[in-house]
Amino acid sequence: MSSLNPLPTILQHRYLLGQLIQREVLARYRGSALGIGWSFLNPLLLLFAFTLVFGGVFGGRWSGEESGKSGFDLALFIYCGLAVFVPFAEVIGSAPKILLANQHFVRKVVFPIEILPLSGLVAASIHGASHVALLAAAALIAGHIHSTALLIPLVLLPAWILTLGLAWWLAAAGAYMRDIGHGMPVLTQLLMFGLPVFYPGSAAPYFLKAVNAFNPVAVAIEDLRLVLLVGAPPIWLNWALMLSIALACALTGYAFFSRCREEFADVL
Amino acid sequence: MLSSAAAVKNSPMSSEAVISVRDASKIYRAYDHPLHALLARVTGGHFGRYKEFHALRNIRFEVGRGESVGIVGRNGSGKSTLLQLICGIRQPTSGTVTVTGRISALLELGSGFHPDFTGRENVFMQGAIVGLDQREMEDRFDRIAAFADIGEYLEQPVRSYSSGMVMRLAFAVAVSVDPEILIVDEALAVGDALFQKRCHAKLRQLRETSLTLLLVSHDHEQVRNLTEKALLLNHGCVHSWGKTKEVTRCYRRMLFEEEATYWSATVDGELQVKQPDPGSQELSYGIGGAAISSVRILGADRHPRTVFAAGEPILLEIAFRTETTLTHLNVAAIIRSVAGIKVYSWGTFNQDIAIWAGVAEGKVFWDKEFTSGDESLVTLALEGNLGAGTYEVQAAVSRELARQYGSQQILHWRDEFGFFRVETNPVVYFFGGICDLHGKAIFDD
Repeated sequence: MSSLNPLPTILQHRYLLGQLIQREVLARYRGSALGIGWSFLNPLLLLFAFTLVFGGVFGGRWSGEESGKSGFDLALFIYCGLAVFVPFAEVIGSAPKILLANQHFVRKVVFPIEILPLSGLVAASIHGASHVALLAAAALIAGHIHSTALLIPLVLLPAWILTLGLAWWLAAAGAYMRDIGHGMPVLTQLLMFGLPVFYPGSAAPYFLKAVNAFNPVAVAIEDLRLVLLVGAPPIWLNWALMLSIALACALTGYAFFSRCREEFADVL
Repeated sequence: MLSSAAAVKNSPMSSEAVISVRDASKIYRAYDHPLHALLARVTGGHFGRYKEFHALRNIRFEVGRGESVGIVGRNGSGKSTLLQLICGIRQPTSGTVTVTGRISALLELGSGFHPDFTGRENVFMQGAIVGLDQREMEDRFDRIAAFADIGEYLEQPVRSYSSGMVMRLAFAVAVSVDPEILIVDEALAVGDALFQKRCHAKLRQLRETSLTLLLVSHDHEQVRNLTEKALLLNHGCVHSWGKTKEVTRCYRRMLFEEEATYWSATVDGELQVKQPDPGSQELSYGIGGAAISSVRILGADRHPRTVFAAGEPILLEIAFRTETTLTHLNVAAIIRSVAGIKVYSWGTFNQDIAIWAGVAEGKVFWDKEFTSGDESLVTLALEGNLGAGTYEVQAAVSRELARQYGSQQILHWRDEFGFFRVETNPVVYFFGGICDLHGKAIFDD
């Protein structure tokens, strides 16, 4: 049945999807003087802040621990984590409320609502891409010139697909249970420390390390550091495993969303 | 071209029926908490407490290409649910709903507009929803803007619109995206008289094409004007389905019967006036016994008119039907400006009083006797000393218990029987205001 495969619907409504994404990207900074400029200014300021904190304030203490790394390098290391985590947290944080926020599309018009979580993800990815672009530029300036940097889109793909699956799951569940939407800020806060954003994955306690080994987002953060800062390719077998986990999440998420779909108009 | 995979399935049956509803039922489950709904969904209905509510039961009908169908029924009879099933927004609990062709739906107010975006942006978004791309919408944009006629507001966020403006824009978009099936739900109830007239003209024009029209309304006049077939829903079941004329008559009878049982249950003996329910959209009230079926607005030549020059005579032909033996009736019309100001209220009883007082001559209407089933006509001839503007005609049949004002029972009163416009010619005869006081200037040479 077509409801198990999201691709035909997505292709059929690609123009609408484009409109939704455009609307979402433009809406975020609408009314501000710099407008779309904020999507570039934001990561720049963030990187500046990190460099200041880890290079200046904590400069001595941190660089001693990880020998051979400057404050700027440490900032880049953490920034790799944030470039993946921030868009991820943004999508899963807003997914439970996405149907509620777009009620008029659910209840009033004939509308392919399954593309709403996708449009949220793509819009967040566009902002995320500006982080990654800045990160890559900063890495180049810092002297990390590795051809493996070209693999960035590929290493991020499993995390991206996983996020899409989670967005479908959360959007459908959030329609039934508003509590999920309220719980998300706490959960994303916990995830920020649970995922290897501020520390290398190897430094995590045993249990957390085991969990993160099967988490495509955690692996994507580590792989991003690998291809960008170290210059080594990811372990492809591991990458394939992450991709399958992500695909499983996306397909089940889509199936769940499609099954609940007919009831959304009733429960919202 | 198909608008949505979920809403549009190809009909294997006949190429003629574009909408076919077969034994469709919709049961809403009212869960104690949405969590129970999720539980039921996940477990296949084994867990989760709920109460069932039958919104629709075994609905069966077909609509062919190019047909115009009205759906009437009281609030809560399942009209909106049926439309949502046809649009594919909700799914039937049992039975099937098959629709072929591009649907453009105007359900309730606001439809799919996003309040934070401008009218223009929303127009393109709506186009994208039904499957028209940027270029195709650009081709239509001027037409849409001209029809909506909301001027500079098109560049303002929809949040700042009045409900009438939202409606105008939504209607303009809905009819401009070349729908094969147009669904209009109560939408024409808002908007001013002129825009309504324009909508009617547009709908009539679209009916000439192969467009299939589905119109839901409380207003049986509107349904009668615009559709040839109608479906009457009552408590989620099909009460009657057939020619609009017969179905609307059925509907009116049903309303009256319900009204009568309501009153026999709540009022002891003496008839009383039922006040209009402030929350409802019903335009009519009264205790029943007689019902006005139509009011025609005529010119001096007795032909229907909607535009008059200031000073031209206006005839109001009121047709009513008496349901029991009645006498001492007063058939009256009320003219209001669009702002709601009562401009004039006058009826047969006013004339009778003048006759009794000896200031007028003629037959007294008050003495006339009516029996059950009589269809009668009364024409009120008025001098149209009105200023430029749009006016609403209301009509009422009442029983006057004494030969003086003050002891009146309203049998049937209805607002908005019609609208007419008065125009003044600014280069020939012109005045301001709603009433012509026939001014004369007196001055020395």
